[in-house]
Amino acid sequence: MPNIIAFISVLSPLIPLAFCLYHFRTFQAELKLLCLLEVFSFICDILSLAVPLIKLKTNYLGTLYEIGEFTILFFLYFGILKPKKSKWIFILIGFSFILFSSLNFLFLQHEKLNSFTFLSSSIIFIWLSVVYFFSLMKDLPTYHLEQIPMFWINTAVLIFFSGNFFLFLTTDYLIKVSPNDFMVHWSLHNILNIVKNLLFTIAFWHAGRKGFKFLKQKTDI
Amino acid sequence: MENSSNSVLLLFGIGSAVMIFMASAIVLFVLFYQKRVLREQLNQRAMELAHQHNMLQAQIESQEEERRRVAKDLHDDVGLMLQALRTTTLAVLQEASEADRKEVQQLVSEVDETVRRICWDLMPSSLEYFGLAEATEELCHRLSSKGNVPVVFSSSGKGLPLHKKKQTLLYRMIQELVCNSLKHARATLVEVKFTWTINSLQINVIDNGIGFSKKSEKNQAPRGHGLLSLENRSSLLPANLLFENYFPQGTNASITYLTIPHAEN
Repeated sequence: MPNIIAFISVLSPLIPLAFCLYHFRTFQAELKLLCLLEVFSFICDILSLAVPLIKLKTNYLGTLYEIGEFTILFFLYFGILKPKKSKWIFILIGFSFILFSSLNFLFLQHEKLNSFTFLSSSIIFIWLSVVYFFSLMKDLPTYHLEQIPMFWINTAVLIFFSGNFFLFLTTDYLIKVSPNDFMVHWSLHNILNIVKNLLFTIAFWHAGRKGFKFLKQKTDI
Repeated sequence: MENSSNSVLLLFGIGSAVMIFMASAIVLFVLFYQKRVLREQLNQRAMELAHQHNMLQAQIESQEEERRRVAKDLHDDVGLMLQALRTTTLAVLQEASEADRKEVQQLVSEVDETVRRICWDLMPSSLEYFGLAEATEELCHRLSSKGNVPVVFSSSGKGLPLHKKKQTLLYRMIQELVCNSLKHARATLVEVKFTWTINSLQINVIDNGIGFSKKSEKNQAPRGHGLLSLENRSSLLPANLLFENYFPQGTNASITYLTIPHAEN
């Protein structure tokens, strides 16, 4: 069963990618960036299947993916939230994460799954998604919030990283106490990945269906 | 070791479940909170608009009521007093010369005529007794005979019954539009057209005057007191008021009013 879930998880980016390809020309830059993330995710997932064959350690690819995912999503949030007062805090957090994940990969968890990197990115994205929701509540951009693509993207990010938070927190311990069952525990990550991709699909569908040019609509009341 | 492992697994399971639950709760909270707040804002705005509408209605109604009262007082009291004055002066001026008598009589007649005109302007009796089309026709006739510019009235279709208040509002709008054409548009011909359908009345006030400027070509007339009054009245009816430049020159102001049969009685 975990293998089936893992397989579905690997293929799940194909659904949003299909919408991306279909509506790509009408998408604005932020959504195109997200399409890029889906392509990157799919390639990394496919490569992860080939990793044992080319005798490469899984955490190399995992870390590369995590840094790539972080960069794309962080740029997305930076573009959407447009922080003015806290612009430098955002930049500082972004650079700190890249530095930390590089140091972690080189010195702390070189031979292991880089759970510290995953955990810190989870914390950052939980914070960013809550900030985005807070900005939505403050701005009240539209009555039909569920039609804004960014609402679904943010929902996907919040659920994915919240759900994975405890998994990343306990990864080291779970591998240590029951290495054979870790794939079962990792299934949660795979399920959440499928959910995330389905939510991204809804976002792309709305973006294409309505021809939305805005991730945050102007107020309509 | 086994117990510790189970505890961690339990913690992992509960923790993940709680986090997913909390994330979902945040999403739902944002969704419903946003909808509730926006609904409240919309309600508040609707209430404000309704209040403004009521205020405007009360203001216009009291204005009409005041006009009606002044017109009635002028007609009944001043009219009677003028009649008495005419009779008295005739008696008093019996000794006076024929020319003086005629002059005084002419003066009294002029005052009488002026009072009647003011009464009519304030509240035309034809509007009260015969309806909008007849009152408008009379308005056109009076303006034509008073000035040099012909004001032509025409009506097509079968007339519909209209509520008295609505008739007054429409009449005031026509009055304002025709006066604008005569005063500001330098027109040499003004036409007032009524087109009745089974559920609407379209009124066109067309002139061959100078029209609107380029700036106002997009269905917008120059803003002023008169236009504000027109807009207020059209929003109270409610009616659709549209201005457009008329080929080859002039302006076509159209008022489209949808009648509501059960509300017009």
